[in-house]
Amino acid sequence: MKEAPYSNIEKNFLKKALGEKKRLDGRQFDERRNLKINFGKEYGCCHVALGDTRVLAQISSEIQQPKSTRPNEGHIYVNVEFSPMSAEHVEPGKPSEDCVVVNRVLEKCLRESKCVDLESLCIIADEKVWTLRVDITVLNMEGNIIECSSIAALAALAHYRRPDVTSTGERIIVHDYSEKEPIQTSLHHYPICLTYAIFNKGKQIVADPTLIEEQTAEASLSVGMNAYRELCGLHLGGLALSDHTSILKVVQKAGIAAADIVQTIKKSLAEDEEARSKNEVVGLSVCIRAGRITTLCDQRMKVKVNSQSIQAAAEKLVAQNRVNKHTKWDDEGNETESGPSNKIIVNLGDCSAELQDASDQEMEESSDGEEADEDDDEDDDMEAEENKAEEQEDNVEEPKKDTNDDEDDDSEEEPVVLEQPKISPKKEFNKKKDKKNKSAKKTAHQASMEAGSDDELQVVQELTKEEKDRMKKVETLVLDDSEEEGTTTLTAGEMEVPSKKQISTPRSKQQRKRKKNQNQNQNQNRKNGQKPGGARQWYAQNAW
Amino acid sequence: MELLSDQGLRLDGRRPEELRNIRCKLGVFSQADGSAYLEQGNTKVLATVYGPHQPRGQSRNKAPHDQVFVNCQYSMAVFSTGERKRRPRGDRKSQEMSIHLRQALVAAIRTELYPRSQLDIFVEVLQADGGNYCACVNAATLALVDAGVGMREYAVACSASLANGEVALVDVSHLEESSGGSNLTVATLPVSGQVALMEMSQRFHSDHLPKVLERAIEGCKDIHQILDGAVRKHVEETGRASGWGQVDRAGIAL
Repeated sequence: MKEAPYSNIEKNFLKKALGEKKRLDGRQFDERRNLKINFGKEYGCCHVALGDTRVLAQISSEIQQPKSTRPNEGHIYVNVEFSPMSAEHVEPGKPSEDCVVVNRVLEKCLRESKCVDLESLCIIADEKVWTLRVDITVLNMEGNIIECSSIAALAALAHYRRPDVTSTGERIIVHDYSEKEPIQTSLHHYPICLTYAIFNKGKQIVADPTLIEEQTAEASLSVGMNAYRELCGLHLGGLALSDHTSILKVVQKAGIAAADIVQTIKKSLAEDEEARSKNEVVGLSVCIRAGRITTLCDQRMKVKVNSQSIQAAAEKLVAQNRVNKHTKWDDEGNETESGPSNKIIVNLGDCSAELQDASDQEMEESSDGEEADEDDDEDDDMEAEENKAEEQEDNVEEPKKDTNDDEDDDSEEEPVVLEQPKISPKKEFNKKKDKKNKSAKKTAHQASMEAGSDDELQVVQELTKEEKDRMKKVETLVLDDSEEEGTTTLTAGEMEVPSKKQISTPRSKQQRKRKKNQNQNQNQNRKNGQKPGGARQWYAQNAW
Repeated sequence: MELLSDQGLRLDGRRPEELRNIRCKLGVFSQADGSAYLEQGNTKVLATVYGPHQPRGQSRNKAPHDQVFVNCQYSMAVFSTGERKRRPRGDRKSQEMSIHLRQALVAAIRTELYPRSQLDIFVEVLQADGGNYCACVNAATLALVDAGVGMREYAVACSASLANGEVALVDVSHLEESSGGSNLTVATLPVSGQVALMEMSQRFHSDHLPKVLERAIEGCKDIHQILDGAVRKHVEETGRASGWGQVDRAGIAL
């Protein structure tokens, strides 16, 4: 499979934006993406996230015979692998050209700059030395793999401890971690490869390029640099030419950034050390539970927006009394505020779309002359579930009345897929009943549902008249048990016969309205192609 | 080991800004469309160019529709180093070399002239004595000229190092490389002064970079003059054999 190229339109847009000193994700030219370093339970295991690029580094060691030319020096071996999960075009097997380049750049950065004290790895000269092996696996490719892997490799090297060894004449005893305190690898300096993308013949130089920036750039420059501003390797890639003055400019910039990153690494190393000394549970599983390393759970769009301007826009809309969106997320993907009391229109990660939709929604609402005033929050699922159950009952009569008229319309319609993340066993039961209902079967709506699917109902689309009518007549609910693993595909007819056993409570117009909105959303979402971030986000919210 | 003596001479007796002796010859093979042999000190390299021709084999998928696909292969002869060693072409260093060769040459070749075609460049190192990459780029350029491939200008590469922490040395030999000097390799288009590839290994302070880079680019310009002289001489010789270039007194070709 070939790597999917970006279209000329996208590239030109990016170039134009850069010409106006803007980047697509709202960063400054010198600004790097968010760097997160997490350590595994074992020594020498490190997961680094640079924006959405994810890399895992693991150090291992074994005792080998040294090279005859360097009898008192250990080895360090670097191996980079692009995991097939990292991108569409990566295939298992022979390493690609990119992989070889990354590998060599890192080798130069770590080995040829002599950052590891190889002589300290010697056990018996000319006989036994330690060989350190740095295995780097790229998990997700979102640009700037070199920088991310070099941070991972360095952090893992600094984190690694090799078992202690005593030699008694002929024999060498390798002590277990529990027997003797393991030994840290001694590093002379901390070199990091910083990557810059060069555009427009060196006029625009951008730090930490994303995938599209990498592909659009004329050249990319990786600068190996340590905190003392010493160059430890340099690589100018790309097929375009650049002036050497721009290269010198980049190198100047890199010095400051390198010191910054080394600080971050040392800080996270110290934190990990502290956690271990306190006998706290450490490791990647903890990070996963804390939601620290799950990919993409925090942001749906990678655009950094000025939240104040959105807030202002939101306030304005609130002032016009036309608002019903209330969920806000922080960087970690946790929900910070929700509920009708909040007057925030948008999900802050997703400004433009949300604002647009909000206005759509207003139109819809104003036309209905009704205000739906609830939150679409995942945490309220259970509540919502009840509401839905009530809705079902509520709608019992309607479809019955209209089934015949309705059938024609609906059969012409495309299959509509509805998704609900949660279901109570009761509902399942109801649905089975529904299936049996023959009148409903004719207007079957197909529904496929993945576990933990999109529950985000923030995008409220404008209802077309037809659809509105239909929605009144037909209440289709496809329910999925999110606790079940795997995918369930269900075919359900119109919801007509809910169990009479269900508790019926007074239903408000509001509820019904909300219900409609939800269904409508789901329909729309499906038709428009699901938002990729949604499912993940929901999962991040509810899984732990 | 001191890279630079008190008298300002290097280990092999050169001055810091002095290149090694360059000897070259174009058109050494009859089968290839273009070929060249180049010696840079004790580093000896053969380069051949086939094409542009129809894309073959795997590169058929890779070949872009609007420009030529340049296929470079770098290999080292088993006898090229002091230690006799079989070097399969697939090893990482030669793979890297091939990628870098392509990068530098594609910058010089007018790729847009030959759409839907392939250009093969094979380079073999016969004797390795430092600056292998530079010698390969220079030899490949000569072979491309010999093949008559359209080029913007010569692609020329040169290396530079830093001695005693302050003096920049041009055209680094194997002895200097292995005795701890850092190594900056630059491939340029010397007339326009653009840099097509830059590669550095080992370590020196970034304050020295301008100096070392300057020295390497100057080296490239010097090498360019030598190569250009060789090409002119070659054209003159081959042209004279066919009577090309001779005019009578009225200026009419004979």
